[in-house]
Amino acid sequence: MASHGITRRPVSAAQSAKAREQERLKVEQYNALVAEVQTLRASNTYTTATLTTSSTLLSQNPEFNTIWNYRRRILLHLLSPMSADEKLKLLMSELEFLIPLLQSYPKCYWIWNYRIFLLQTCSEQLDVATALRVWKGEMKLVDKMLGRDARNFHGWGYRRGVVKEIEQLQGRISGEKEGEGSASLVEEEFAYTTAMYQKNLSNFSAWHNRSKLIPRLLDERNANVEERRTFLDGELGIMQEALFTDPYDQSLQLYHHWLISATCSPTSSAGTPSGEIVRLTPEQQLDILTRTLVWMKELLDEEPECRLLLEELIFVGSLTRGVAEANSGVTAEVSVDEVKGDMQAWLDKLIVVDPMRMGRWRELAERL
Amino acid sequence: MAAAVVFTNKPEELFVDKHVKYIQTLDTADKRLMSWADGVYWGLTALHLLGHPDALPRDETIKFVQSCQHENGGFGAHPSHDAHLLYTLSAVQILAMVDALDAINTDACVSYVRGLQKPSGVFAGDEWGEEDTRFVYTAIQTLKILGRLDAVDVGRAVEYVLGCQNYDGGFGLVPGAESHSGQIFTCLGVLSMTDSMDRLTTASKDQLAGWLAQRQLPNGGLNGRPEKLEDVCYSWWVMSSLAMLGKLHWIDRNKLVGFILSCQDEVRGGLADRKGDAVDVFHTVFGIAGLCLVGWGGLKEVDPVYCMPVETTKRLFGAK
Repeated sequence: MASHGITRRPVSAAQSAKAREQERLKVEQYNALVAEVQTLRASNTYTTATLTTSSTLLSQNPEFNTIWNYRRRILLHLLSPMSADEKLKLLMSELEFLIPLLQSYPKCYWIWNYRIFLLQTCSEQLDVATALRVWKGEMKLVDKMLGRDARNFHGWGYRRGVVKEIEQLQGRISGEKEGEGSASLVEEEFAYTTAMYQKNLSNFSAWHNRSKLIPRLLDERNANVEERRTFLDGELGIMQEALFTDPYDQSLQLYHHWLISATCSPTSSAGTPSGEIVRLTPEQQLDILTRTLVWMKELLDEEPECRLLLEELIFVGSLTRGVAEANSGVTAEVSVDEVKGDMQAWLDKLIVVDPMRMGRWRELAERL
Repeated sequence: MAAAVVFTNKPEELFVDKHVKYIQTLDTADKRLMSWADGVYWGLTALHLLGHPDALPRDETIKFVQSCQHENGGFGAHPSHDAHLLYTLSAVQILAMVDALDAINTDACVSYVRGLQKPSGVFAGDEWGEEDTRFVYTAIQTLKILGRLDAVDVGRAVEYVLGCQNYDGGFGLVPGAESHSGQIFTCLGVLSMTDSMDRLTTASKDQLAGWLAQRQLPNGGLNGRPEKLEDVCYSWWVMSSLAMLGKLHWIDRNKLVGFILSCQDEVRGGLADRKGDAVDVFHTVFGIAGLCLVGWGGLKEVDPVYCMPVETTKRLFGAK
């Protein structure tokens, strides 16, 4: 189907007769295997032997979703008369079978889906404590996958799913035994995003996950307004330092943009869902916005052609104007007229350094 | 929608005949395009957009699609494969393009799709229950083509999609998942098909369009999310999304065209993900569809919501 990153073979590279023969044999063997498994499937044969045959086929072609479905049916059939110990053993060996496949095909949806099915079957058919142990084991796999490819889309999505289920199972256990402590993993997961960005600042996935965790984190800490402000200052400080390290990094710009827009917009309806960090007074908003403009302008002196920085400056400038104009009683340290002039200059510069997005900047110019 | 764009063809060439030939040779005895429904959809859409709608045999195409429908009403990629929403939409799109929607059991198909909606509004891909925004898109488009959107809870489906929007304006697979151009296409598609685009604020639409425009890299190609490599298929996912937001002019068309054309196999036809890589029918259709969106001369107009020729969607839904 869709191939990615596979080098095109030149037309002149004619295959040798031997290679062609080998290729033909391989296709023939594969087709015979497909026919065998399809016959077994059509006759509703659900045995340990058919499980093995389907393993052979799926190892060769893990995109064959229908055969994964067949395997689900075989497995449910085999599990139904089993004791708890036998069930655990079979489910664990299934999880094991997938490891080399996931290593070879980390982006194949069907393998991940089958794995989630196995884990859900654990939750349904094993006792809570055992199921929890199995799910917790998954965290090691996720750590390994994300250690190898820190931006693996499936890896991050899978991690969120695993965390959610562990929290639910822990909730079920602590519901049975009062005072077992919190079922939430939000502190651990937040710390994980910290560890990930400390390894590599340029990790959009880690910043994204962080943004999703923060509202819950603050709620679960029962943070008051002062604590929330301190937290926000901490995050903004991290961003300031990080952007001085790499002002060209989009994931940093996006995260910073979110922090500012979620807390310093003149109206509470900023547009995109932001999650609650803290409600600031207009004075506090203007204080943050002014400080941000100061350090961003310093950075611009060092990197006068950085288009991401120019774009963000215009954004922060427009918020500053918005907040100041909506709260005329509040004295701002910056003059609105000065910000207006700066914004025009930044936009003029942006049109020069980012001609690819000219259409966007022209539109913005009309609005300013 | 943005105003139509008149594009001046640069000296570079789109090898139309070679691409037609490439897709036709996929349907020979050893390759058997007619053995996977999504492959037929990709190939047929490319041929329609290239202006060669009859390059695949119509009768055989219809017969193949019919043979993929299961008793439960859904379609498999092949008669011997289990039914799945992905192939159900491919089947219905194929029949829509060849104007043969009456060739299948519509009621059964509608009831299959309806049976996959969950209380949250999301749809599962099949009976085994994988749920995400891709399947909301496939379900809604299938029913829209069949004229049976009333069969499901559209309101809840829209709410689910809106719950997948992130701080960068983009959309993810499920609530909480990071933004990805493919999911942005499916989510904007759902909002468009259900006349719900006005549920997004102007600010969030602008932010999203800005994020999409950032996907263009200095070589002209588009990537799917920040700090990733360019790939021809994003010429569709990103550009169709920009088209739905009316912001196609926020990227550099000439540079994108240059990138897409550089991904052609100028000898055997077809397009690859990147220059010099092996071609496939998936990248072929999305590269060509991307060229259609920027108004490359000689190609048919494509509908950014449905990824089918405008001729087809006009016939189905009337002029917009």
